[in-house]
Amino acid sequence: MPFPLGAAYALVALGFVLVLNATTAVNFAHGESVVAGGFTAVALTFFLPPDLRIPGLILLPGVVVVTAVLGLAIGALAYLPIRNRPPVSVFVTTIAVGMIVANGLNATFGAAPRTAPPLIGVGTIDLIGVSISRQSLVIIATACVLIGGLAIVLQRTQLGRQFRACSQDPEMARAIGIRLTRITLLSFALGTAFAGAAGLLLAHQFFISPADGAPLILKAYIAVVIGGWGSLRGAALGALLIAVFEVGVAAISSQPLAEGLLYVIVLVVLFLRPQGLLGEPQQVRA
Amino acid sequence: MSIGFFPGDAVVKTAQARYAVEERGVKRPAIISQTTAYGQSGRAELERNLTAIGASPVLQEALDISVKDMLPVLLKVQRSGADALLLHLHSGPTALIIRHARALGLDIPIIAGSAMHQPETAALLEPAELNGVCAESGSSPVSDDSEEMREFVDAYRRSFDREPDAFALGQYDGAKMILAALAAGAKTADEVRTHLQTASHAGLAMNYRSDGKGNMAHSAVIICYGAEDRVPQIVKRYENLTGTL
Repeated sequence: MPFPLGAAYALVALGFVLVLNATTAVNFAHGESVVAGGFTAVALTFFLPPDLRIPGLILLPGVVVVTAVLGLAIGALAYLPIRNRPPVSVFVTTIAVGMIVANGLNATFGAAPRTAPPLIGVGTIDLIGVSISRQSLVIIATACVLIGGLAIVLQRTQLGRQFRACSQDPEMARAIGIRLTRITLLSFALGTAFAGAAGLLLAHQFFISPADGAPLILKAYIAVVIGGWGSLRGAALGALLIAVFEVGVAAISSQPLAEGLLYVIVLVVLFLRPQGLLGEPQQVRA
Repeated sequence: MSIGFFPGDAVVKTAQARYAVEERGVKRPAIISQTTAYGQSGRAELERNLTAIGASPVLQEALDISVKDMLPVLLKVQRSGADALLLHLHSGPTALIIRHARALGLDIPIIAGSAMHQPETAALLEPAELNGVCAESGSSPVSDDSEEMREFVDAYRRSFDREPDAFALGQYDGAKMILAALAAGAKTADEVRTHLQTASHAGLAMNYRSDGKGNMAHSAVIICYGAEDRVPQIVKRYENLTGTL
């Protein structure tokens, strides 16, 4: 079942797009933000009595707060000071921040994989005659709640309208009184918090290690390319498609073949529909 | 010529294959390995040994080290009709595939590579997930209750604040052998090498002797985990394995 991985990848990709839309620059530290979320969960468990086997889901608010602060720091240090320079400058500063985070985690926790507590219990439950892992169900459900919450914020709240206004026309947004810097920093905080939540969801079922950031940012990038540059719905669709290849196609062929086929799909999309499946043709790819 | 104090794939994969076939009655094994050089070497030795004793693998699959979801390969194992899962994976993927196999309810013996004997690998899994999992290794310091081994394990814990594994013990035995060579009068690298190659050396993990090619270690153990904790028991020892069945 590709949905648990797809749901977590969707959170990663959505966070990536939130920052992309606010800055038009790629945050290459986003993969390490996922890793930071997973390790925050691991670290939080150190402060709990070893015999107290709490569900990992209880750690979600703590993980979100810590990674949101990390996002603010990335925005303030790696983006704002150079926002008027060419996009490649932001590539380099965010890559540097990502390396600092990855190596900091490596120095603190070591290079070996770690696992966070199970999100809610372990084992399987019977759902309409099908045995499904509790972890998988909780990953999907949590991701759906977070994605639904984000959709409500973006569509129904004043803050969401400000996010969308800044993403569509930053100069006009500034002209009508929206504080662009504030919205930009909030985008980094929200996007990185989504990445952190994905890290928590992945950390038990799929483990987490300091080197996991690079593959994750690559997946987020590909999800956004396939789904549509800057499209939130496209990012979620792209993430699910990646998971379908990683799990579904790999199950009937082989993992290396499935990985290769995924990149063939990326090339086909770029050739035939450069704006992505749900993207708009006039957008510019960073 | 380099000198090795940890048994190579030719030794430990022989033990893994023999334990699966001779002790567990495996006839249709599936091999899951890594696409790395480490994985390719071990997979080739495992396949060669299994085929030599009449249990040709019904499925062989290689995984990139970045693969996170083991469900696809486990579904292929299920479909293949394999009666055992033989692993030759790095630490993280070994633990991942066991976790996902348990979640899938795959009910066949799992006999893993030496990554599984490492306490760091076992720490990633719950005892219930480890229950029944076996693995090959050069040794398993935390499983051996001899007085000398307990002293080594206690000293290692005090010095490094972590559990020792077979690699740590191999390094310890190797360092002791070099010190013995120096004590015997060796003064140059060549003299140390000559000393190591011309005698048998009693180490904590095993008795070492050179095969003339730098391989000093020719013994292996099979460990198995129970449901109570993450400390495996040694269930089988193999001595003087030449790597040729």
